[in-house]
Amino acid sequence: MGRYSFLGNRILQMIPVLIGITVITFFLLRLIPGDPARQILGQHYTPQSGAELRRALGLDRPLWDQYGLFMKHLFQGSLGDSINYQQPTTTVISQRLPATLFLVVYSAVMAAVIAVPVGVCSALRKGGIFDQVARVWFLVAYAMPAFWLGIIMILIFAVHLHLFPVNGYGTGFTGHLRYLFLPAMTIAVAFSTVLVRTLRASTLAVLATDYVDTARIKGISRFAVLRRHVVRNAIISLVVVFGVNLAFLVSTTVLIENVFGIPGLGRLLVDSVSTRDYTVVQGTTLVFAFFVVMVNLLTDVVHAALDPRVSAA
Amino acid sequence: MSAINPSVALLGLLERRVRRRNNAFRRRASLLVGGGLLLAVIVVTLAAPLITSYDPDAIDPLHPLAAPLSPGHVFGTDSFGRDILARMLYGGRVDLLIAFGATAVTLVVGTTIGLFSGYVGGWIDSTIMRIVDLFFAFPFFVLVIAIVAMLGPSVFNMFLAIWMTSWISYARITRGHTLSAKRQEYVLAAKALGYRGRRIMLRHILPNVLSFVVIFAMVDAVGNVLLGAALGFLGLGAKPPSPEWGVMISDGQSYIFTAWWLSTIPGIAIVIVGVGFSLLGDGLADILRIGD
Repeated sequence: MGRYSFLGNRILQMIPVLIGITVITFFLLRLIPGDPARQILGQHYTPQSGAELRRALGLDRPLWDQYGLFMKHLFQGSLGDSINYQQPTTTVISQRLPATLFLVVYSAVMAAVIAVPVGVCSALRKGGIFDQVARVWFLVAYAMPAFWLGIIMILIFAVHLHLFPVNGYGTGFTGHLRYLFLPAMTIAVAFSTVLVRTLRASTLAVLATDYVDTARIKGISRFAVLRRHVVRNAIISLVVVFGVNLAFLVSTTVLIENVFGIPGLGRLLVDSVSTRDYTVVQGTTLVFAFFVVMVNLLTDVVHAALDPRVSAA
Repeated sequence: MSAINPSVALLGLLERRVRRRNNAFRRRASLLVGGGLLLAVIVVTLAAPLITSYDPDAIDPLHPLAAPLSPGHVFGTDSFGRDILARMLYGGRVDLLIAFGATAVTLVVGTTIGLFSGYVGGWIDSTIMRIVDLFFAFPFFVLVIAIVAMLGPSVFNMFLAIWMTSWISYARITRGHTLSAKRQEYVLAAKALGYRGRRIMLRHILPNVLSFVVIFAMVDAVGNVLLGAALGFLGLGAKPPSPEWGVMISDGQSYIFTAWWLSTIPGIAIVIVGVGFSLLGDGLADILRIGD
């Protein structure tokens, strides 16, 4: 199979998943007990506004029609209006998106910077002191609640050492880098526990292959073999692991935004729960799921580009 | 190459035997340490009234924010003067209940669905697996929050949200192993003997699949402890004044400049429970001879 048909197939596979995501997010609103219109409007409820909303959401029509209406609005780029912000949900979400994207990318880079050296070194001296220490550390780090780790980071680096701000988002690129350092570090520590385990295993697998032996027998130096074969393959597997665990990364980001008061989508999601802004909850969920599916596609494409064996298989 | 010196070969054999014994020891060590940690936490939370005489909700306006090791309060007090040790012990009951309650139900439901789906096959199997894939597309935490949001934040709705979403992992694992078991001779033999599907599933396949499920359940339990605490922290699970550990961490964040212990202590307790489950899982995996 050629590279392009691999890509085409992958995109075709994605379509039913995207449709399924809209079905699940559509049904989210139906989980509201009682009359959704009354719940959504809350104190704004009057018989008149209730009837209006019911008509807008199509609650008076059969379920299948309601889903059709939801999809029609979605294709028109509408996710309904936010009751709390008195704005279209899409506007509210797009205002919050940059902070979340910045944080996700920042922490993914940091996690890679931690995980690649640790994973490779652990595998090189399997059972050695470094491997043992790393193992114990990641055992403990995996059990740490990320939000608690965030607070401990604030306690040490912000409150006592005054190195970083306690919370907020900052202004400008360097401002974001500084303000988001602790949150990104927190997410990276949590995320690297997942990455290291897989990286170590895949590096061990590469070290056991014939081509590594061949390279060594040819007389290539240990370091060159490491650089050309071992680390390069480790980075390829990093892309795969990254894709597989992206949902974990996004989940942690949602949590950590709330610890550090970062005006991103995760904060919006949680705030909207307490203000009962159901359409925003629904919209944010949809955006997060689409994001994960899209980035998964991207990692598959990058993986295929880096490793020709993928599209050949 | 010359023939191997017999004494060297003997040495190698001895060395291997020692290594095997070391491995066996390590295996039992993670099982014992993990099980011990969990057992200790369970015992102290159940024996809370014997360990402390304080009521976890009793407010003492005269002694707020007492530091750890102050007289009468080993772990100090919070902003309402409530004894932290008492709150930790009683709160542990909530967190352990979340860990066991959430994990046990999804384990049973997910395993049943996976077993059935894998064994029956056909369109039922592909439909169920498409649903499973779909749930995997969502960031798990976001989906749980969204469901809790719609149902209304409470401990019971948190359980509902976890039950609705967590079965997928068990279903996927069980289904995969059921598929490979289905092709093995013992299942074919059972079929040839004319046993009914239900008997083959429950008596023949399930016992062989269960070890994978139980090991995953330990990982899942760590996840559920963290999830329960995270939802408490965000105000979407257990609610103040409940002494749930996540809620306690959240309460403590407001006093981070003056009282570090409020958030720190509950977090350490969560780490202990999580490490306990992880070690128990590692030990079980080693004993059941399943590599990671």
